[in-house]
Amino acid sequence: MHTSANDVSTGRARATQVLSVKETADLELTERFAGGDESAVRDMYERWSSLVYTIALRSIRNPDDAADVTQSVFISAWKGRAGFDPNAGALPAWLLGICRRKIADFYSAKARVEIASTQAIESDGSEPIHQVDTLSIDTIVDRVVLADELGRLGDPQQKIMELAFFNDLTHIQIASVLDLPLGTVKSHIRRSLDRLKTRLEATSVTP
Amino acid sequence: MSHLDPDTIALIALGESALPDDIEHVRGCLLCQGELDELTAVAASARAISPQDRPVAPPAQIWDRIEAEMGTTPRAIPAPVQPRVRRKSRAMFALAASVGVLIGGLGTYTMISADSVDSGSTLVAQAALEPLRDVKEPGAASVQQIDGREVLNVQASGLPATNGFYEVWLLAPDSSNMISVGMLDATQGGQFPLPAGIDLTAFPIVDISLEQFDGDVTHSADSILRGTLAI
Ligand SMILES: [Zn+2]
Repeated sequence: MHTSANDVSTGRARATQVLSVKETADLELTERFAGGDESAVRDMYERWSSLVYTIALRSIRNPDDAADVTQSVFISAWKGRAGFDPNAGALPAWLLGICRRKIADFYSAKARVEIASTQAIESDGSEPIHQVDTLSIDTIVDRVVLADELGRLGDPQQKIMELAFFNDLTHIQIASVLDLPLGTVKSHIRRSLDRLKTRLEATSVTP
Repeated sequence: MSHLDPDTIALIALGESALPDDIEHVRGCLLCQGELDELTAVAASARAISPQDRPVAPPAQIWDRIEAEMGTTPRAIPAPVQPRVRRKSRAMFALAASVGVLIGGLGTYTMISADSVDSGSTLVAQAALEPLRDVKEPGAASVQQIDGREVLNVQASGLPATNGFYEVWLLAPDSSNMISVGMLDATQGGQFPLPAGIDLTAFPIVDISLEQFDGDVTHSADSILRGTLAI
């Protein structure tokens, strides 16, 4: 019985369809941005400044510095728009790539200033200072992006996933707590996990 | 051998118990194992989310700074009025830089530099500006006579960052009538020459309002600081 192979591909096709609605909006914004329409920067700021700022804040832990990084990310994006290749990756991935570089720049500038007093730097000086942090920038980006997407799932999906992730409830317990049919909970869980995965992939960059 | 139902893979990824047959299948199936590994990684990352990972918006003035640096045009500009600028000053440039080019549109008010307030000025009136809202520090206002002209001097350093802007008004005692005096730089305060012949006893209240770039030139009714001039 090989029919459920079709189920797997149907599931994938559905996830792709959900994404394509979002992609249409992204495409429109991407075209405006690449075409030099400065109002696109405002829209990008509205959609992604919280991500950029929170990632910077989690990495740098200083609100003023994180705000400066956020400002420089969007300025660099605008000034460097000619370097954005829509075929090479999605706009948010490109933007978060700039964000990672700005955070790295911040740390290297800081390292130059603090090099004498920092014990975390190895004798050859090659160890980047931010490795002192317990969390890598990749981990921070993933978590902030996931937290963002969780908040966008809408209910009951968000509630379902929070109960599954943070309260460790099984789908049977969740169905009982939220008074929803088992099948509904199961398919919400699978689609939401797919969506979170897709979002992670769309924002992960190959530097 | 049938592949696992995607819903089932998702539940296993979340750590729910699986049937022995399903476990056995996954162990021998690259497709299902790959799917399970990916979703398990997503679930592990999601479970590690802390409250600090929830996205928070940057401070409101960051967009203003970006817009100023980009040199873009603010979206709503009131109909241009010929500004009666007597002298370009440092204060003017600082204000212009902080609010983009909007000063050109709202520039019905003459700006003069702090340098010009020196000898030859006499104090006409002053007021303490009391916070009406989420402002911690009170401000201060004074009216000075400089070269035969009355100038309102406003000091307010504790104004919160905003996406909009602060506007200075003189109000009648019952707020039935008011005069817009100018835009206030939230970080520097400002000096505003008053219309010639203004009767300060008819407009004794100094009011700082928070305004949005909405094209509406009337008072937003969102007053931040207020005080009455002791003349
Ligand atoms: Zn399989």
